[in-house]
Amino acid sequence: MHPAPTRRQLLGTAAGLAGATIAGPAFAQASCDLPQPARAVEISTISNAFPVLQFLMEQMRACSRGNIRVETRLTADNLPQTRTALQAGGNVPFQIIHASNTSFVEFVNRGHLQPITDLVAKHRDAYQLNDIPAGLWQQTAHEGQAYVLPFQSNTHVLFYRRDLLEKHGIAVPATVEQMIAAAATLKAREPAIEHPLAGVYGRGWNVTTEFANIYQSLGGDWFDARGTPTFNDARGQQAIELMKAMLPYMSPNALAFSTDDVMVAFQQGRSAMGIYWASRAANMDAPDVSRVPGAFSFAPAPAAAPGGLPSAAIWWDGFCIPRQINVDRELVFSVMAEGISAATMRRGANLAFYSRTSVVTDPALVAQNRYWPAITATIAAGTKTFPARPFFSLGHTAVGASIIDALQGRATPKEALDRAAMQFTREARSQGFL
Amino acid sequence: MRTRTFLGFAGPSILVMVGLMAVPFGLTIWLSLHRLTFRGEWLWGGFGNYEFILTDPDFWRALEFTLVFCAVTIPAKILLGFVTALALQRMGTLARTLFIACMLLPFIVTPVVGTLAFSWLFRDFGVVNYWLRDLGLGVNWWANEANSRTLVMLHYVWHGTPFATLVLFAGLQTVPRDEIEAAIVDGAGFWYRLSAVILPYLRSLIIFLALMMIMDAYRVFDSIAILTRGLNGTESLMYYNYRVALVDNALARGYAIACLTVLGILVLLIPFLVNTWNEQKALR
Repeated sequence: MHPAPTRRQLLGTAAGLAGATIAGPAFAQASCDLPQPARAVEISTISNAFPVLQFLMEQMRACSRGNIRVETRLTADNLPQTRTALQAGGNVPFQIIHASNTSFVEFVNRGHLQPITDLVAKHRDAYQLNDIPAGLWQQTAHEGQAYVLPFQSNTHVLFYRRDLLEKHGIAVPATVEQMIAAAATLKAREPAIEHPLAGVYGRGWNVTTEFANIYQSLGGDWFDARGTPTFNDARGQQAIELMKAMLPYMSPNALAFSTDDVMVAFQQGRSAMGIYWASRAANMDAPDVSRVPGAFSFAPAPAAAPGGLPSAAIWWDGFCIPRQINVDRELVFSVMAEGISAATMRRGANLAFYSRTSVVTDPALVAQNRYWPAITATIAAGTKTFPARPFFSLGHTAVGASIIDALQGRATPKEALDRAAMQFTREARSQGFL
Repeated sequence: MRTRTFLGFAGPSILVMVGLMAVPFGLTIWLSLHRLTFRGEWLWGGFGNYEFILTDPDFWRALEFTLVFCAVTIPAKILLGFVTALALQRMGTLARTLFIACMLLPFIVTPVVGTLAFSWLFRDFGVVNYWLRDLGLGVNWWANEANSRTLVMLHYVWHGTPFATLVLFAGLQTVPRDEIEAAIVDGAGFWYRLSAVILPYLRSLIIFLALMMIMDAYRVFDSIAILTRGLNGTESLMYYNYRVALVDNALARGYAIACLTVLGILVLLIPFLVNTWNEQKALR
């Protein structure tokens, strides 16, 4: 029998545990020594909550020292909250906001953001900002001014169970039609895979983004030069037909699937293929959450038509500063820059395809991150971003409001898209875009 | 009571009501007659927003679902609440205490957390679905309108019944014991006692409860935002308002929907308000 621990031993253990708890996160965080302001300053951030942002926000919180306090808010859908904060007038309660290529276009055209060209130039060497490729600086600029510190590029790639495809002699699908045929084979021959395909088809933004990927792969443009919607053309209808053809191979609940639902379907071995966010690939190999670690492989998303572009779009995400804030903008910039340092990105290398060339071309990191080559190939294939038009998000939401009717058969693809086009035109006129 | 005395007592609360409700509502009506440009300018738009909404099929679907939702969930909650209250009355003190504590859990838990937990039970990998499938009754709750609407209503009834139970249980304690005993002596059975003694006593309380529940059900949002996001005809007026104003970023149209929503609730409440008015008049 073990002797009962003495009070001193208990206190020692408790102190050790407390120390480990306090010191533990410090090992995982960046060192962040910023010049201390004379008065206490609070910097608040708002961002989405996907894994890489959880990690980067943790790094920014490490800047909370002395008079600086960094508060982070991560939400499942930050766009409505960010919009509300930016449109409310006066000082914006968030000094750092997360934007992607679509939300950035909306924010910058509404005059909600402030240029940071001078700060980028001033701190270029200190924060090794030359490490971010010129092309990405151009994509994130507006009228020649820098507004964003980009931290990642993202896209959709094909996730597929290499073991199952090899077992049944199926080639890695290069087109959506081939993917559907592969799904049919798996459904017939692999009873454990109840729903061979999975996709983020949840109502609203998610399903519209899937539509956009296929539509752009078919060569579709959302609008003509004057802003008249063209997404209701034959290509748009074809995109919906392809999506409908995939649905029988997905869960019957697919139209409610979020990004997390798809991840779980893959990790639990219930689905074998899907066009899915590359940034989620790291989670496929984690043995503590996946029943099939290492079983998934990655390739550029299949084209919607033979010889076409991958059914994907290139995205970037970054941090911006609102136009009106009540905190020293240089300090805010420094916190953002600390959050995207090369050292930080290397520490969380498995979480994203980062914006720094030195990180994403590091052979050791490329070897560790099996999904990076699929992203590189998708970018190299000439995959486009979403249109950088200030009214794009209105078109995107208009399609989102109608497309489910077409996918569920309550309307034909043409009826649904015509309705979306009409709603977009009315709202865009009302808001003064057209 | 003299007008001056009445105003002395009621004046402060009337001022607060005007400041916090009437002024913002007036402003909402005013803004609903404008359009908001992407540059942040408010331009006069007349009834354009209302025309847009009233010709939007999504608005009518949301209105239809909201009315169906009220019509199904309110009687269900009152009925279940009443049955549970009757059961509580027959329990011993200890059993009753335990039962009330358990029953209040869905009501106490933060709505978003409760809804999320509820939703996980029914998802593809959820426990309830797992059991149902074992029984050969697999239901895909997000696959069609009937299932999704049932799920949202189930959640709402699960969440709201404890409130009805508590109110009705309190009401049952006020039913005079001697009248019930007299009915028993006269040979009245359970159903007769219920219909001739208990329910007439609880009538006002049930009307009050229904009034509260109509206002609550008409504003249903959490259940839908977490469970279905309006998929399969489960978009309520509140969710439609949120989607248009904040997700679709059509703020001015959102104001117009808010005005129409207030108008709708007033129409729904008219029978109850008239009834309350008549009752108060009869008391004088």
